[in-house]
Formats: sequence, C-alpha cells, structure tokens
Amino acid sequence: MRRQFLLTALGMVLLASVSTPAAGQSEYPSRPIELVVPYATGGSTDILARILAKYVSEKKGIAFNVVNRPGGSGIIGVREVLNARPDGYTLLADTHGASTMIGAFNDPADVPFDWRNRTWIGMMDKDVILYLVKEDSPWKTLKDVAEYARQNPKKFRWGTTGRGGIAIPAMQQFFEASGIPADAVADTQVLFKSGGEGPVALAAGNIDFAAQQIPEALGLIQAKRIRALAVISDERLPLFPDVPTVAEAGYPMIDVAGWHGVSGPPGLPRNVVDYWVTLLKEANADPVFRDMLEQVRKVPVFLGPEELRAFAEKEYEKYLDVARKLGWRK
Amino acid sequence: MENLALLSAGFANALTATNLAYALLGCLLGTMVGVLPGLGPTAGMAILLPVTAWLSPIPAIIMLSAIFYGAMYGGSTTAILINVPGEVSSVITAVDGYRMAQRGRAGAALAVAAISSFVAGTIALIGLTFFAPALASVALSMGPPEMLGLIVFSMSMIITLSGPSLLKGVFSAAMGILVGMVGLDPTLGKARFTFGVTPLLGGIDLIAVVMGLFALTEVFKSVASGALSISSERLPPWYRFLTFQELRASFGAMLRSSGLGFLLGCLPGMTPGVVSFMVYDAEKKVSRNSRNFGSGAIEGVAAAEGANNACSAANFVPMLTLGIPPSTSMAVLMSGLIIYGLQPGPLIFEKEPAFVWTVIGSMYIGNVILLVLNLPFVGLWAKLVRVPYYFIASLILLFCFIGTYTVRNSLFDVGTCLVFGIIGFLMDRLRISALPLVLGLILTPLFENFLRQTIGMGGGSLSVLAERPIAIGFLALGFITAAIALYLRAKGAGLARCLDAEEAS
Repeated sequence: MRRQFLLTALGMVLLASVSTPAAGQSEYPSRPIELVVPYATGGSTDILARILAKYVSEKKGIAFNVVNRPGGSGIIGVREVLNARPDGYTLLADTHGASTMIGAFNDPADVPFDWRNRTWIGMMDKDVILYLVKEDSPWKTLKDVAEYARQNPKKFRWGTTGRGGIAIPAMQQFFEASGIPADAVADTQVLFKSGGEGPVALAAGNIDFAAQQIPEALGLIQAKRIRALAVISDERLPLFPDVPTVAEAGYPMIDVAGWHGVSGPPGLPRNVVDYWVTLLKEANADPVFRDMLEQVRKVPVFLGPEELRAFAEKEYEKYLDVARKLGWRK
Repeated sequence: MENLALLSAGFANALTATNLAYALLGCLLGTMVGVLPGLGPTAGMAILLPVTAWLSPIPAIIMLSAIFYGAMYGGSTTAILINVPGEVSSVITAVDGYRMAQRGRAGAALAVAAISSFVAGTIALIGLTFFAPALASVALSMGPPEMLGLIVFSMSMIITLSGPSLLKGVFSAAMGILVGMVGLDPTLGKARFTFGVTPLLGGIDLIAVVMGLFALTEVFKSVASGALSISSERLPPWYRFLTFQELRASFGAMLRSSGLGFLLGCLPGMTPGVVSFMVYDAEKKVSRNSRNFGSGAIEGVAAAEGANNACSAANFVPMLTLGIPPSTSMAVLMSGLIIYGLQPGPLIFEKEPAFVWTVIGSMYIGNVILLVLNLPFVGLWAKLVRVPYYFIASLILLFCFIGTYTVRNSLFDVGTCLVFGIIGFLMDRLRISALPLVLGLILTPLFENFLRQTIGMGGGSLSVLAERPIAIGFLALGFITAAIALYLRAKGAGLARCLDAEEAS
C-alpha cells in the first residue's frame, strides 16, 4: 500500500517535472509568492520567514508575502502547503517542528499527511541549544546535574516546551547519555507553552534544569539570573566563550539542533527548486543576510534539497527513537 | 529620579517629527482597523505588520505599539455601539456599553470609554516608568502554583456572571470549558474532541467564538425581532453627551480598574481579556451602583475599559523584562524587538535605554493622540445607532467574517463563527448568558497549563502547593468568594425571580 503510494508519488513528481518546463521556465516568479508559516506571528519560524521575505523582496524585487496558518503544532499550515498546487507560488517556511517532529512525535492517525511527501528546497540556518541552570545553582557541569538527577529522580524538576519543541530530544539525549531511564524522571517534567517561560521558571527557582534556544534565554543569562552549563555545538560560540560544548562537558553523543528552511508541495517543478536553491545559496554567502540571521542568534547554514532530505531523514530516526522511549509512539 | 531624566530624553526622541508621525499614523491605522466591526488588535496587527517591516527599529516599534493600542481602543467603539467586540478584551465593555447605547446613551458610553482608556493608559505608563524592573520580580515570584490559585479564584466569577439562573450559568461555563479543550493536548500532543476533522487540531479560535456569540447573535436577534435600528431614542445635544454626574460616578471605577488592571497585567499569561473579566467582577462587588452592572451601568464601561487598557500597557512588563509575551499581539511586538537585535530581559532598561524610553515616551503621547483623535468623533459614532439596522447588519456580517478569517487565515474559523452565532442565538432564547462561556473558554487553557506545571513541579502530585502560601491564599479566597456569592444568591433568589419575570414581560 505504502510502496504503491510512494511509486505513484514518484510518478507524479516525474510527470510534473516533465510537463511543466513548457509553462514558461524563464517567467518564474511572475506573481506574488506566499510563504506559509505554520505557526502564529511572533514565533521563531515567523521571525525567520519575515527576514527571508524582507531579504528576497529587497534583493529580487519580487512580492513575497508571509502568511501565518497556525494551529495543531504546525499540522494545519503544513497540510495546506502540501496540498497546494505545486507551481512555486505557495511555499512552506519549514523547520524541524513542521517536518521531522510532526512525523516522529505525533500519532500518525492524527496527522493527515506523510511528512516526507514534500519538495525539499533548502536549509538556511541552525538554532543552537543551551543547557541551563539557575545562577546560584550548586551545579557547575552537566555531570553534576546528571549525578543529582540519578540520585533524586523524584525531586529533579526539569522544563521543556510542549511537543514539537526542540528541547524534548535535547533533554532525552541528556538523560540517555547519563544513564537515567526516561520514566524515572517523567513525573517531574514541567511543560511550557512558549520558549520564554522555561528560563523564567529557572530564574524563579520553579524548575532546576532546562534546555533552551539562545534568544529565549539570553536576556536572563545576561542579567545573571540563569547560567549556561553547555552548548550543543561542535565549537564554542563567540557569544558565550566560557560555555563548554557538550563534547567538552563529556557528552559527545548529544546532537540536537533546530533549523529553518524552505520547502514546497510535492512535485515542485525543477526550475522553481533551482531558483530557490540559487537564491538561498546566494543569501548564505551575502554578509547582509548573515548579519540579519546573527542578529536573531541563528547560525547561517546552507543545505541544498538532497542534503536537507538526507539530514531530515537522519533527524527523523533520532526523534522517533526519543518518541518511543517516552512512550509516545510504539 | 533617574527614570524621569531618561523619560524626558525619551520624550524628546519620541517628539521628533518622524517618530511623532509614526505614532500618529499607528494610532490612526489602529483605530481605523479597530472600529471596523469584527477587527481587533490581533487581526489589526496581523494585517499591518508588513507595513512596519521597512522601518528602522524605533519607528517600527513605535508604530506597531500605536497600532496595538489604537486597535484596542477602536475595538471598544464597536462593542458599545453595535455589540461587536473586536477582541475578547472588549466583551465586558459591550455588556454595559451596548445597553447604554440602546437607551440612547451611546455618547456617554463612548466618552467615558475614551476617558477611562486615557486615564488607565496614563496610570499604567507611570507604573511602567517607575516600577517596571521591580514588577519583573513580582512576576517572577508568581510561579505556576500561584497562577493556578489565581485562576481557580477567577473561576468563582462564574457564579456572579451567571445571571438569574445559576444552573444555566454553570451550563454555559461548562460549554466554554469543553470548547476550550478541543484540539491537540498541550502535553502529549494527542488530539482531543477533533473527530478526525483536521482544522479542529488547532483548537477553536477564541475570536471566532466571541464574534459568533456576540456580533452574529446580535444580528440574528435584531432580524428576528424586526428591529429597525439599535436605538430609537433621540440623541442628546453634544454638550449633554456625558453629564458631570456620570463622569463623577465613574471616576472611582476608572482609578480602581486602572490600578488592579495594571497589577494583574504584569503577571505571566494575563491577557486584557482575562483581566477585564476579573476587574469588572471586582468593581461590581465594591461599586455603589453594583445592582445596575450588566444593565447599562456607566461604571461598568469605565471599569472594563480601564482594566483592558491598563493591562495592555502592563503587558509590556513581562514582555520587555522577562521575554514572556502574554498575548499574540505582545508576541508580535517582541518578535519586532528580536528582529532588530534588541534582547528582552531584565537588563533591557539598562542596555537599550534610548529604545525603551523612546517607546514609553511615545506611548504617553499616543494616549493623548487617541483621546484627541476620538473624543470629537463621539457624536458622529453615536449617530450610528440610528442608522437603519439592515444596513449595519450586512456590514457587521462582512467585517466579522473578514476579522475572523484574518486571525489565522482560516475559512474554517469563519464557519466556527457562524455556528457560534446560531448557538448564541439559541442561548439567548433560552436566557442563558454567554459570558460564563467566554470565561470558561479563556480560563481553561490557562488552568490546564498551570495545573500541569504545578503537578510537574510536585513530581506528579499537587504537593508543591503546601509550600506556597500565596497559592493557598488565592485558593482559599476563591472558595470564600464562591461561598459568599452562593449565599447572597440564595438570599436574593426571591428578588432575582421578580427581576427575571419583569425582564421577561
């Protein structure tokens, strides 16, 4: 059944790519493009989409509109894009939460599409994660945290955002690497609706440990209310020269990052994909665009369609493993 | 007094021609969007956000903030005149405001709303100027258990909001709670009450429900009763729009609601919608005119508008100093800051003084602009109640659908709005108040959120409450108010029955 579906999909992709070039290869884009953000205004993906829109509109002079279609942890907006006409005028502001995490974390019965069934275009940035404690916490390293959590699993309060948040796999990998079974600490998980709440709860002493993206935590780190123990990155960040990488902290196996990029409905014509790949590549090399990303504390990264697909596939396996350990998936 | 020096520098910046122009433009656009029936701050900012993308940081944030409070303000105009709140925050304004409009006192209601908004905005800004960093620590000390206590306490309002029949009120609230639970569950991401309908995964949109229950219901009611216009009363001459007695009567309500609205607005997750309910309820309990609350008390309008405006200004405290925006509108503003590399956090006042104080300065100015802009229009707006209703009704429907659609760009939400219009009409026929429904709907997600967090903090139980005196205090207060309200209700049952019969006849 599944194979049949994939074959049909493949056939459609081939058909689409054969039949569309005639429809004016040189003319794309000839009317405004909609970039659908599957989340509400004001979130991380929304910010990145608006930065891209601004850059593209200024650079190419094309009308490029950001449309927010929030709801259902991204499922509603993603579905809309995947069902849209594959003409390059409806694109998705893609992210880990809108692709691999929907696929891995949700019960397939609740998701009205196959997460793989999209045209990958490219990645534009990665989102780095920090492990954090309260400023006056006795813990100085990740090992200290692990030690305490192992001995007092019922007292160890840790926070993440809800499902779809990148903090969940970051926490799960930490527990696994520390030899702490997921169900031992399941009861003391405190879930937050938005990214900013975790750092605030840390500063107030309502939780003991959290994993967060940089923009959410930076304000309270600078005010010396919370402290970063490690950063999930291959190298130390210029922003936090004193914060060790996870490998330096003795956790080389931890590897989680959020990302943002662009995707489209399945069967997007070759010329549209090429147009966007060239544009994203150019943007990645452009200091103006890199500055815009660094301004919002993202790391500029470019991955093309095939690399992004392979990357997503690997991430999916990772997240599926997390979901199984948490008992979310069988 | 260092703050005063900084603020005056901020004023100087805000008064430069460009910044002033953007504040004015934002106020104008915001008010224009706000007075369109069915469009409030959320929809307004969503529509106008791209306009600000081309500006440099300070003008952009000035303009966005102005759009926000302008739309907030404009929303109360339609709430009063035609019972169409553009946002949950003006639902309570409509309760007394619309009754006043029907009695030919639209001018008074509009004028008092304008003045109360101005007073509350200014008081809240003074609070923001002098106490913002201190208030951030207050917000920090209100953790999930304390907020849970506060929400449980607020639930006792269901009793006072129920109208003549408690049973009907509880039924209405229960419906709101049920509607509030539709969608993906926030912890496990499991679909609840969605029956396989994909758009329901995103939950039922609050604004769609409010538009349906109030605006559409109002249209259906008027069509059913064959009303020719909202009010057939003769309008008083302009100098009699707001009498001195009315102004004096509402002055206390303005001050109290500004103070309480501001304090509540500093807490995490407290939106103007929730806060206006809480403050209105509190004011009703202390007011000398409490018997008329709900049937056109001018103090009610003053309290509602004071609360939501003070709260919106106070919402800048958790947004700026802690990076936790209570509402979508605040989240949009915060993303504006982040895009420009301004980091919300306790140090924002020290690190970005020019920015913060210019924006605060422009908000003081914006408040004055709104008052000057709107008071002269009171007479014009007030005439709207005499426009033939078939004309107004079609406009209400049109703009409600546009407004509902804009919030999430969803046609499904327009359908939701229509369904709730029919539900609201049936509820009205059965004499069930829609207010407890709205309250249940806005409190449920907060309650669930804080309850789960409290349980997580206690390692799977509510045990952590025992260490939290403030939380216990709120819970106790909740039970005591509920008990008193029930007692008073039992005592006044006979009276209520009389009133009910009188109203029905």
